[in-house]
Amino acid sequence: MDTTQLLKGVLDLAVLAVVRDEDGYGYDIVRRLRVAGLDDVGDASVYGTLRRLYQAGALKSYVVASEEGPHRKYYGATPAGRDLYETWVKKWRGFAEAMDVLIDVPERETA
Amino acid sequence: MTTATSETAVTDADRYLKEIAPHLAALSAEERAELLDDLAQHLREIAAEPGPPLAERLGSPATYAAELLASAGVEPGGPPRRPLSIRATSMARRARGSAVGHEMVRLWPVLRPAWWVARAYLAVSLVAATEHTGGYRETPLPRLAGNHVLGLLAVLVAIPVSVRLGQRNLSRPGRLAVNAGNVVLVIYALSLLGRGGPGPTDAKLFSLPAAPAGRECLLNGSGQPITNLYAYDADGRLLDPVLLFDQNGQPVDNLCQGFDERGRRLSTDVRQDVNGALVPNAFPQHQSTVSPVEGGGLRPGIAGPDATVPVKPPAVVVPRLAPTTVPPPG
Repeated sequence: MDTTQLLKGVLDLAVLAVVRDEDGYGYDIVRRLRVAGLDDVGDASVYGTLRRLYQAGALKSYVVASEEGPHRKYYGATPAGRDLYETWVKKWRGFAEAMDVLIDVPERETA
Repeated sequence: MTTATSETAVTDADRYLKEIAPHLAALSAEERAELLDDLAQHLREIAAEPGPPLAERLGSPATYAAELLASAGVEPGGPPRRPLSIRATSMARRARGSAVGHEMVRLWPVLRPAWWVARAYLAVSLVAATEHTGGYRETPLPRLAGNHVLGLLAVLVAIPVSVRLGQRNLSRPGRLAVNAGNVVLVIYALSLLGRGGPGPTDAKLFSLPAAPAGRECLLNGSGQPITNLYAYDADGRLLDPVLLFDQNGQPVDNLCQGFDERGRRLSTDVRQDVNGALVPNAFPQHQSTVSPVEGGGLRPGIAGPDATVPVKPPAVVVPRLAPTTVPPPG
């Protein structure tokens, strides 16, 4: 199965999950997602998600000047973003449990 | 692997951006300019990180643009498609853009508890209004079962309940219910603003007292409507009837419409002269509370007493007058 299709549905949650404790800039957020195991995550998708979440008020952003390279735009979760995160976590848990049950049934039957 | 210098990173990013730009034609000019401006900075950030040129790292500009538009909630050739919750917060965000909105957002953490208290009051006030008690607004305190104390108690109980609701992390159905209630109360509050204050909801009944057509009715020094006049002699005896005229000899006939404490119009028996003509300046006017049907304007289904009850003269303390030293005119 193409994991990018799976990612589409959960990218909002994944992005909020990586910035909820520590703010990060675009590339850094992509890296954190990949380190966490989401290897197929694309920069464009993450960047688009960041913009959308920012426009929705779920993220705040600020620019940090850098002497060595370009300025970096950092993103962090707003209180609304944290609420959204909690909501999606609950949805995800319910969804994942349902999927686990679905996936486990044939295994038990064949076991 | 190469480490990009600041300069080559900017060049690489700008070149890649230029190739993306044509694929964003579906956006409005303003949206596109804003996105490109922001994207330029993002691409420079990536280009500054160690790694191959952007085209290798990010794939084709066309794919990048399509992926970006899809994840940003803007599909090429179509309107933005975003989840309802995001659209709602997006609207909130636009509201925050205005100066007032911005100030509201800044103060919201402080204002929230105030809203919790306000909605408790509004909820009780709404219940009181649907109970159809009230009439004139002598006090902003809602009356429950015609009783101010009950109204006050209800408000005092409602406040901690409302605050608790505000502080708790509610389940989704709970939150939906609370939000729906909030909307109702806000609409009710706006209707109060439009009407000038809490009170029963029947506009016909509870509009300001009506004077005879086209004229203003009499108000006392406190701005309260005068609905009847009582004359007493020096010994404190009520004179009934007296005929009152103003300084121009015109009959005083512009009293305000009276209402009883439940907000119903008072019925007035206007006196007649010997020829049967109405004498509107004969006081006190004989007034009585009336049944809902006779009163007119009451909402159907609201019960009231069937019998008419005469309005009693007010309890007054008639001062002892000093002897008159100025001879009466004439």
